[in-house]
Amino acid sequence: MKLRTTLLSAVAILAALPAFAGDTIKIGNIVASSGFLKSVGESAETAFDIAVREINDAGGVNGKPIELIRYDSGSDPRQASVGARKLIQDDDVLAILGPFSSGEARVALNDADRFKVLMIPTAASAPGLTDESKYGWRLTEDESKQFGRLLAALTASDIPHKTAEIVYVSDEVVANAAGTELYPTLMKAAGIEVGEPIPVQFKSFDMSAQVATIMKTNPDIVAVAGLPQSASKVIKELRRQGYEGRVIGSQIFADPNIVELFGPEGDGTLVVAGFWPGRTEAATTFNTEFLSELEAKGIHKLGAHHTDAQAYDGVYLLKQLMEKTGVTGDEDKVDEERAEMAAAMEGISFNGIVGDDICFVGHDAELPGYVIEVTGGKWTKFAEAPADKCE
Amino acid sequence: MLLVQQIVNGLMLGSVYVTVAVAFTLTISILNFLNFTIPTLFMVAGMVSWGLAYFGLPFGLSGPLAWPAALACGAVASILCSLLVERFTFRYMRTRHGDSTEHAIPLVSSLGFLLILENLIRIFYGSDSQRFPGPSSDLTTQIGGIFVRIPQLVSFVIVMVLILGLVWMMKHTRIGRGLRAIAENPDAATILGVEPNKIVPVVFMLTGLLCGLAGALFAVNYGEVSPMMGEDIGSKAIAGMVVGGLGSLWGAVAGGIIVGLVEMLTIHFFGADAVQVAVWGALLVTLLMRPQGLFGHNAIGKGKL
Repeated sequence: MKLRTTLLSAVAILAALPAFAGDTIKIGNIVASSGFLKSVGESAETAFDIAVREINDAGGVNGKPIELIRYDSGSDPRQASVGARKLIQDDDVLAILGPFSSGEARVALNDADRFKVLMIPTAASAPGLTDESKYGWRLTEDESKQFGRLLAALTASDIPHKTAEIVYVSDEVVANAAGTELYPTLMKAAGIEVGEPIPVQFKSFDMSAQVATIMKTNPDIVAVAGLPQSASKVIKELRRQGYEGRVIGSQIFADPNIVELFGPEGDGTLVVAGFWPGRTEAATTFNTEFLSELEAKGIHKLGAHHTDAQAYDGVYLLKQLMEKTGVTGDEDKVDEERAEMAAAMEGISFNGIVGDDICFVGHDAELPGYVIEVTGGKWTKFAEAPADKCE
Repeated sequence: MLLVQQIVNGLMLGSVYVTVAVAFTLTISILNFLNFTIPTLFMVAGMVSWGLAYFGLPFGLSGPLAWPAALACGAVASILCSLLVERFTFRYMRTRHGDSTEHAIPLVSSLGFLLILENLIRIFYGSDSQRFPGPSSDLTTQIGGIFVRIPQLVSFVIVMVLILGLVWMMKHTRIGRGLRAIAENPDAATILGVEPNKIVPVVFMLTGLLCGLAGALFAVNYGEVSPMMGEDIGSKAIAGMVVGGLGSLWGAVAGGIIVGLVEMLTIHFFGADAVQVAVWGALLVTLLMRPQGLFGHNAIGKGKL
């Protein structure tokens, strides 16, 4: 009797499993919660979670809650690829948000294309990243466009900018491309006299030799291409050696926390970001809630990074796609629904906290840009540029 | 003039490597043990100092008193970690597996300590660089048109005084004689009454002190600390130690400065991407032409102090 009851219970549980599996709509999420991108990557996790919670609290999508299945790449491109395959093959997700960086996305997008699954990297802004990808789309703005906006604001201002030197981190994918190709091309096009780009390495801590070379020409501006920690070392060394001009940079180190990291030496720095928390009420609400949740987790942030805002919007973009295609999340329809979601990206227009009526040229979103000035220990808006129109 | 500036920059950078290279030299000379935790001890000093200065010292100091006290605590943390390494790698492994000069197992376990400590710091503080709230970074002076950082100059003097003290201690004190006896022949030293369990921790304490001091001075000089701050310095200090000659304290000093100079001059002439090739190339050339290093002895790992 006892054995029969046990067997019947087991059969009942097994029978119920597919029902449980189909009760949610599964979305993959590759994050960088460890490794060298941990500090910028882990906060995006909170942004994803806030969006999913808001959507589920409001009734979910197509009557079902979103289930975010997370994989930590450890900031390693190979692990990002492993994560993509795991989420696609083992977890049957309909689409993937992430991986975080351009380096990781460059590898993982191959998996997305191979298995025909929509992938939206979180912070990948390397130029041309999605050019060859059929299933990779970006809700991030290209470095060259954003840096061009900063140069436009600079040339419109009375800040001296006739001569410039470029310092770039040679062993970082995006910084290398920005420092050796984007910055020189765009700055020359803006009529700025530019010296030969000067490399530094990510692990270098002493920039005195590079800065001594810069001080020989004492340019009006120094453009830095590197993550905040590298930019900070360059800026501090510049000030130590008596440099008084402006330091500029693209999105790569446009993190509100640089205000604290750079300290007084960072005053006057100009960067360009893809998010301004005061843009709309929804953007302000997100920023406030985001900071409050991070504080509860013991993570210190001075404001949402544009990658956090883009992570949040990425979830809502998928929601829009899911509603448009009417996906069910049922396991027997996974391939069909993945294809529907990827196809629905064509011609989509999206409203989010990063911008309104966001459209895509190729597979890259057209987003507004905000030129930020670090002044008086504050993250202030220096200028802004609207999103380009989609032809 | 620019070249002279780069040479001065190289000397200043070399002084950072010197302290860590001397720490490596101490353990390898006396214990024949390449202590891989040294870069982490350096990092622990910096990160603990930052943590205390940033989140507040437990004993209520504030203002200009806070950061020197925090640095002192960071150095103490480095010494304590070093003693922990001695207890759970070197001493434990020797007790369980025999001869203390069989350094392979302590070497591997010290590598384990390096990874554990570094990742614990990353878990607690994240992987970001952190601004150290020390003295203003514009403490720079110009001597004949050459920029010199005052904290770095002071650091260099402190390090030289410390090494002179260390050399004096090794030659003229009972502890120094005991350490040299262990370096010469641990078994004979034990028979003659030297107690390794009491004397070996001194090596680790000195190692912790050197790393703690180096980490603290680094935080003041560069105004920043990070969980990865020991990686580059550790590898360059090893290069400096080998170039200078294994087991020679003054060799480590010369090697550290040579590596600093090679690094800065390489950046000046060829760019930062060529630094690793130049530094490790210089090491290989030194080993080919003079395997014992510039100031080392032929009997590597034994009795050179």
